Amino acid sequence: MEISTREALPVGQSETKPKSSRRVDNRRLMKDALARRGLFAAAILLIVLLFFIAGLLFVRALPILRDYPLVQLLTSVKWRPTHGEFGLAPFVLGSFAVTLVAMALAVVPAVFSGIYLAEYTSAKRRSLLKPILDLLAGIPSVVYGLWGVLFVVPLIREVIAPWLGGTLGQSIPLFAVTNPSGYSLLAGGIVLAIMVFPLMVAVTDEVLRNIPQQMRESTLALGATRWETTWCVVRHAGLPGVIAAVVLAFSRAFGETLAIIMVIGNTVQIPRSLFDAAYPLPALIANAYSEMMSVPLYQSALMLAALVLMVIVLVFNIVARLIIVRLSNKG
Amino acid sequence: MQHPLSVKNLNVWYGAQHALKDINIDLPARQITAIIGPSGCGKSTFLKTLNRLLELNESVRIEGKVMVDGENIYDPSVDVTDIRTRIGLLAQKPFPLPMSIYDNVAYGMRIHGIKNGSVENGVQEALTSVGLWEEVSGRLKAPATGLSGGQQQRLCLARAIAVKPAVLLCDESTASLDPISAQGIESLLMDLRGQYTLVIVTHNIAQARRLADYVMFMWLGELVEHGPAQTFFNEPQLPLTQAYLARKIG
Repeated sequence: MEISTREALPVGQSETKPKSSRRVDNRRLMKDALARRGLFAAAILLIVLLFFIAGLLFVRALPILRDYPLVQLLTSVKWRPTHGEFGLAPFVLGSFAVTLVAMALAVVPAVFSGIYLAEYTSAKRRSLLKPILDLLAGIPSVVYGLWGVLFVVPLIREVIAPWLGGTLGQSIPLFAVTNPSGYSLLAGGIVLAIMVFPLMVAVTDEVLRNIPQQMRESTLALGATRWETTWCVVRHAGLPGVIAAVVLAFSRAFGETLAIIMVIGNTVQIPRSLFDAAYPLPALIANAYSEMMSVPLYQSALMLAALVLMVIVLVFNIVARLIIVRLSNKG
Repeated sequence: MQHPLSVKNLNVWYGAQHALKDINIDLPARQITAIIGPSGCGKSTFLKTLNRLLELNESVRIEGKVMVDGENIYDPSVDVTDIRTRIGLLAQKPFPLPMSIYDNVAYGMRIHGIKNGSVENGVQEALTSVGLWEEVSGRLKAPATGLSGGQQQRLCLARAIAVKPAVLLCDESTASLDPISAQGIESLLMDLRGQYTLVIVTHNIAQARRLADYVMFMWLGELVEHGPAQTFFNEPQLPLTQAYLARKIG
């Protein structure tokens, strides 16, 4: 209260205070104002950066957008830059396909692991598991890529593809073996799934542990079992956080580049089987950037690819945020 | 006198700290027992041993017996969910589950397999008995978090009694409420006496005087003195109790 009174007084009216004390107060007020403005500038910087990146990509993508309609670029399946064909559909669909495979493999086990860690483990076991999880999350993606080349690709080539192709592949095109190399959508999906697994577990665990213990006590005190309590906590309080974990993992998987380039085969086509090679957007940008200078509009097409990648991840995040807000308000 | 709750040689440790020291007591049926004592004396710890909620804390070690209708609730063969159904809890702060008013009360009944028609009647009955039905009957599907603090605590009480426990534990259940809401909860507890065995923890001696039929006084993890409320407040036997009631210590 005293501060607001002092702030309301014109400068000349605080004469009764000793001079030294007024100087100290002024310094404090100045620091306060500096802190407020400094923190505001830091926060604004993030937003400016986002618009700056998007704006730059847009400006660089303009030349190709002037020559070709956006819809045609996004829906065309032909990517032959030397012939002036810049269809991005195989890359966009490749990105979605590999991300969906990864999420299909990772979401359920990761969310269950997160729930186990938050709701069922003892403090002692948790203290053993948590550092391993953090370690997994910190491994560079190139290491996952190498592991994919050395283990996942041969596993698919020698075990999974012959088995699935010989059984389900006979009748379901999704499992038909069209590519014997093992470098495939499935290899990319498995590597991505393993990469995003620790992230999803960590976020799910963190979110559930932040739910007040009182909620668990409230349900347990009514005679609920551990599982009934966990289900109530996850469904009614943890769901927005679990969705956030999945969204984060989706964004990470969708934008992942290095590990994917190493195992997915990088062939421009719309994948129809898990064993088809694919070519996701980030892989296209990373692979093609160094060789694009000689072809007109090539650079612009790659900038558009980057812009599309960014917009897809942003839209997904915004939609997920809306779902989270809606679910949080339902309580 | 019946003793639905009987505590024998109960000891509790938090790690190396001996929090409850050899507690022995029989709690009277369908009356209000108030546990009083200064902060940290073990009141809430004792209360939570009565429905086995204390064991959620991993550092806790419990020895001794808590007999409910002649059965030791710490016997390994006992179903803990059954114990907690029979011994309800009203916590210090109201904590409605993040769901509708109706679902909050229905939750306990549903997990115990009660069918929808009976759940509906049970919800109305429980909300009526805590005096909340009139206030919320028009917005049962609204989120429970939208209720005032006092209403939330009454809702939590309705939730607890909806599963028809025999014993109701109240852990300083008016401490976080405004005086009017606290008074409302007090008079509800008075009304519920006779139907339930109530055990309340309070640091408020005046509240214990108003509510209690029987009083336990705890000090540093020990049960110092206990007895019928009138005798306890009018003729305390031990100097420590006399000093506490005279507010010279604690």
